[in-house]
Amino acid sequence: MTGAVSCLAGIRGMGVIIHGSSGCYYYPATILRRELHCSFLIEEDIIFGAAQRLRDLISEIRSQYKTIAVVQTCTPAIIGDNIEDFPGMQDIIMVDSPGFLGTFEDGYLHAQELLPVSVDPGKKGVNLDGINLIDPFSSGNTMETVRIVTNAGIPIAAVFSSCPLEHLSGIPPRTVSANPDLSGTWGENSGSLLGIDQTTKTIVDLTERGGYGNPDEILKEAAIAEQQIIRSCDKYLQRFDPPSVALFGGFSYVVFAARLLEKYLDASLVCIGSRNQPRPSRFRVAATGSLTMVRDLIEQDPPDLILGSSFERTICPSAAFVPFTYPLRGMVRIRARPLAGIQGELALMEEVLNACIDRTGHGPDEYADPSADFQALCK
Amino acid sequence: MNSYRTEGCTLSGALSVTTAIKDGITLIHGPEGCAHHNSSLLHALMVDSGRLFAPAILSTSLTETEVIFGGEEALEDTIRRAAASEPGVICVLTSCVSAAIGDDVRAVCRDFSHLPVVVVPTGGFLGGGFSQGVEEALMALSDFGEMGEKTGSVTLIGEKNLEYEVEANYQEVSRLLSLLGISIELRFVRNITATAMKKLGSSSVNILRDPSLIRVGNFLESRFGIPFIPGFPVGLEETLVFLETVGKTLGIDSSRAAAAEKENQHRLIGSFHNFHGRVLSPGGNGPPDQPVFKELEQIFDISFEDHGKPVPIPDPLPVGTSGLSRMLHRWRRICRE
Repeated sequence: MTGAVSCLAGIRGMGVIIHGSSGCYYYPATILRRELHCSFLIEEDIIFGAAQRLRDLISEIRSQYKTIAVVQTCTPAIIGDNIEDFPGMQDIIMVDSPGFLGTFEDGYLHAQELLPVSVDPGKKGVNLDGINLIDPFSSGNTMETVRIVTNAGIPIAAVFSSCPLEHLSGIPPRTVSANPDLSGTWGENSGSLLGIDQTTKTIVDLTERGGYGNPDEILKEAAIAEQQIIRSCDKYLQRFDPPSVALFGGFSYVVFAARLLEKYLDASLVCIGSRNQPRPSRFRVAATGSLTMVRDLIEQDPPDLILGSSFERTICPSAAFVPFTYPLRGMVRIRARPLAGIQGELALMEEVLNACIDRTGHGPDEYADPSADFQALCK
Repeated sequence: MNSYRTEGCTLSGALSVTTAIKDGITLIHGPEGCAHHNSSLLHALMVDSGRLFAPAILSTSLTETEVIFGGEEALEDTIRRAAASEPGVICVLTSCVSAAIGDDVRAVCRDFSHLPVVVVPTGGFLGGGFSQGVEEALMALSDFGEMGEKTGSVTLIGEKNLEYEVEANYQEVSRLLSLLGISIELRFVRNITATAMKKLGSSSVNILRDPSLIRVGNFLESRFGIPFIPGFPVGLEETLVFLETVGKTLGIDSSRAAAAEKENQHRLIGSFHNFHGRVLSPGGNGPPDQPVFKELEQIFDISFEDHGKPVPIPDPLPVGTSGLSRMLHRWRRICRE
């Protein structure tokens, strides 16, 4: 349910109703920080029927939005509330997404399929997907990927799921992704922007296949960024052993981070936990659906460094910590942070190195003034 | 809209109680989403209060298959999984999904009578709202209480574990009781072990967190013969009455304690002499019609008007003299802006 709401609430101009109880409503309402509506069901609604209550709510808010989407929670889905057959309700987007049907990603993708999208095969540009309001990298990824794609001379059309409703009409036929876990619904999958290597490959492909745009500036920037990371990591390894790392988050993100940590720091990956269903990869990734499983994994082999949420930080407070997935409590996070694109890879490795250095208690003198490195590399 | 619709899930209420048992595991018989939502809520509120906290919650992870064919097997498996870590208690909470599909949770749990398993019949929103969940959890856990010799001490019932000021309120009630020479035997349920709950039948008076727990107070009185005070005191006068009532219930002369507290309150009033004549506008819950605000109007010669300086009205209301003092300090800071 929360996955579906997270997708729909990113579309500006769409009113989102959670058809369920206040308990179901509060979590997405507080964590997504978007205006959401709820039918606030109680037991008597389930006994006597909740459809009229939902129709009344739709009528009440209809004039405020261009379209309305209703997300069904568990109990209305079990009793089979259906309003689509009622007069005047045919245009309501009904998303049957009770919690028992699957993961956050399942709900998100199901809602994404139901968005009112039309494709224009002749339209120039590219769509972006994998943007998810609950993701701590949501706004940073949007900014960074839009920057990269437009700098290569390719216009961005629809952003799934963070754009005005109108942008979903007549979208171009290709889509690139900031998070492959949430991609593939609309447009031909034309690559990922998660990681510098993927970003450069995707941009080169797009310009070659589209016959417009120029990847040169992005390629130059990517090469400089990679050298910066290598130099900083090499300095770290001159003084310290590689960290042993535990990674927790969505599958694509943890595999991406595992790749970087191995590549740049020769890190030992003691456990990789995926909140969604792991797919085949060269890393051993465990599905971690509960805190108990997370605790067991961490206690088996306590790491020096954790990339995860504040849950994992709580379980192993002695480890260095890099915020990587929701929830992130007990810290101030108000600026946009990318994980995708060139800045995303730089930011992740910067945070990893700083967290590891802080944990050692050694001063960061050698690492000061990275802008000087950048200037030197640019010459 | 009535608050019953908007007060949150029964599960959250029950979890606010059961996850405060230090050696307990709570098992939610429902989809994983219920466990995630509630773990996140509890984690967020505890971290905000400065406590690193990851609640010990397991989910039976009901999916479409269990919704169609029943989830009792999943419940059995999860109880076994919980039992493997030998917790002091395994609390089994039902969700709206398990209630709607009609799993016989009590029957499943009866098969584990050799384990400390307790069923809290929450039923998600089909079982009521947040406060109903708190009540159900407290009453279910009272099964662990044993009738004992009355020790002349006090048990606190139903402290609001998610409340930001929960420890400050505990300190204030502790302070007031210490004026009477009384100690708190048990915090039912806050940061205690399952074994500690045995002492539930041994105290001489129960003090409820607030009057919404009257049903629990009556239940414990009929079960263990322990009288109860209906709530933590709110306001200066009520704080003095609280001392008198506790003293009377325990057969203790409260006059010296009341005199000492009255002196303390006089000092507080004196320190806010420059607050006189203020015009304030209550925020949050709207016009303050509770007696404590009438009391403040009289003591400090302040008034509450729509055009006044906006000040927050804490929810729940501040406890005792110290709670009132903290609220007044916050108001005075705002008035200086």
